[in-house]
Amino acid sequence: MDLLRHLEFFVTIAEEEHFGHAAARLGIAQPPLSQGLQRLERSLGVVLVDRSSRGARLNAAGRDLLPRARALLEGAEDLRRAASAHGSAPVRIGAVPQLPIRTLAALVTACSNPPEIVTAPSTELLDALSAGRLDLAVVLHPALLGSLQSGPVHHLATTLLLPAGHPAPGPVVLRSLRGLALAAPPRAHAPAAHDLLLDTLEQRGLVTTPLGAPDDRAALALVAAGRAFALTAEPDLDAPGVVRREIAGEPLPLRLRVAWRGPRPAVLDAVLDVLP
Amino acid sequence: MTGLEREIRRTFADAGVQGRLHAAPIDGPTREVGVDPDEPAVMASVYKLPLLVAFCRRVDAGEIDPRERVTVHPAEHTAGPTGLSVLRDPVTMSWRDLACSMISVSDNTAADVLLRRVGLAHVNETLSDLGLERTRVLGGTADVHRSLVTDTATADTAAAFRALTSNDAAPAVRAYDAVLASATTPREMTRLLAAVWSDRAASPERCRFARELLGAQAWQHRLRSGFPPVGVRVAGKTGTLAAVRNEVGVVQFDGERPVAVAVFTRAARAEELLPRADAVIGQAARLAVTELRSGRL
Repeated sequence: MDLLRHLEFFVTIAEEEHFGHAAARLGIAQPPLSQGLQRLERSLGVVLVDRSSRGARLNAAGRDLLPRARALLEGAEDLRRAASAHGSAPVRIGAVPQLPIRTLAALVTACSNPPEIVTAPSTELLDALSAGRLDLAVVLHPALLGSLQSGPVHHLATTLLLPAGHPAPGPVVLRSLRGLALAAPPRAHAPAAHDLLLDTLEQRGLVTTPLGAPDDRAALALVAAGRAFALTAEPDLDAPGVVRREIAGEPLPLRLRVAWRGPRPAVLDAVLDVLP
Repeated sequence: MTGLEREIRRTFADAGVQGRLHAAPIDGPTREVGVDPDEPAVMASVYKLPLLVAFCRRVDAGEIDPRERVTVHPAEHTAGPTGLSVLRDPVTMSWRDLACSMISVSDNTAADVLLRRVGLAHVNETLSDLGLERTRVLGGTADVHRSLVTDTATADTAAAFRALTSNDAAPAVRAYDAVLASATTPREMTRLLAAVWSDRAASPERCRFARELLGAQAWQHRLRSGFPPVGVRVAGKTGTLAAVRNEVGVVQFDGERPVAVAVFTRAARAEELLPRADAVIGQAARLAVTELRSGRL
């Protein structure tokens, strides 16, 4: 348990006397806030807040412990201030390989200090976040976020990459791609998002076999070889033997979500502004 | 973490769900399998099991006549896919048949009508009486629907569920929050089942009634799907709320001791229908029950 983070929840709830208002002030959703408080209560072995339909009020134990919680938070802030005088570590940001290069570059330049960037599959990024090895990550949605915090769902437009021999000049009806495999990262990189894509294709009449392509290079090679089609949010991706086509009908958006652990990272707003 | 626990966690993750589980033979707490068995989980319609037990106790106390007939009008309906919730005309039936519909097909209307008669206070009294201190029922299904409409800023229940079952947004709702919704832990639900199976939850006659209703469970796609087609009986109560899929029940192989299992899941995907997320409840339960049957623990 992140004691300081949970103490911050407790103090904010005490000040707002309302879960919703406290969550809004902390910039998180209500469920993780109240789960955090419950975890704190469990680890301390004492109930701190009386919940009712009208709000949240401290009980006697909560009132007694509130000043000590504040003192700990102030002590931690002191420690951070003192540490920052000795130099500052760069923020560590992770992103899935599907994030377009220009968006990634915009995200880096939006940070006031140059961040450390890691590119990895969603599941790895989420593990790294949970283990504290990253401060923030752009992952595929939907994904299992566990106790991580997260922002809204972002949509990026995608287009099709097809073998050059494909006849259609205009937007392509997905079911006409029957017979071609789908060049896509392995399911283990993001099981829920992978399953959602295959189910959506099937709903639109295209039952296809995914062919493991961990990155754009592998996907382009499979498409150029005439074995597969690919979906990309990258506007400039191109290679000999590959043509780009719009998808006919409903778009197939790439869904992304920003996730982080613990306190809202300082660069979060800048990152959210860069994503559509 | 044991190898089995790791395997169950992998099974949940592969199905795209966060899962919690507890399994223990009815006859004793010494052998058990758990995956976060003491972490709180939202109940959804699993709350109908404590409500059933509270109903049985009020019948035992002579405060409710189970044969008394009650008329339910369409205007009182709670939205739902089964039972009275889908009927057009007033229906007159007994309290115990309302209980039957509430358990066997998870009839939301029957449950809310019964909850009004039994009383929320009696449900929570029953829970604390049975020593289930981490299980709390805050209201019925209609209350949950009202909170969903508020939290998704929609006009009605149907619109709230449309918002909740879309992968294009991720609304934060109280109904998904184990602190703000009716909640329990996997271990407390296996304890409640054990009390029903060993005639401690109410009188032996009422406990038998409760076991019969749970044995008449119509939904076979969760717990039941994990076990062989013959030679095993599965009695249970499901709970479903968009991404939340639960089932708590008792698995009994012929000639063996019954095992109580409680599985609570929340899917990453938002769709109302996710067969893989239903099936993983049976798969995880099977892994746990197989271990307990082997006598290795």
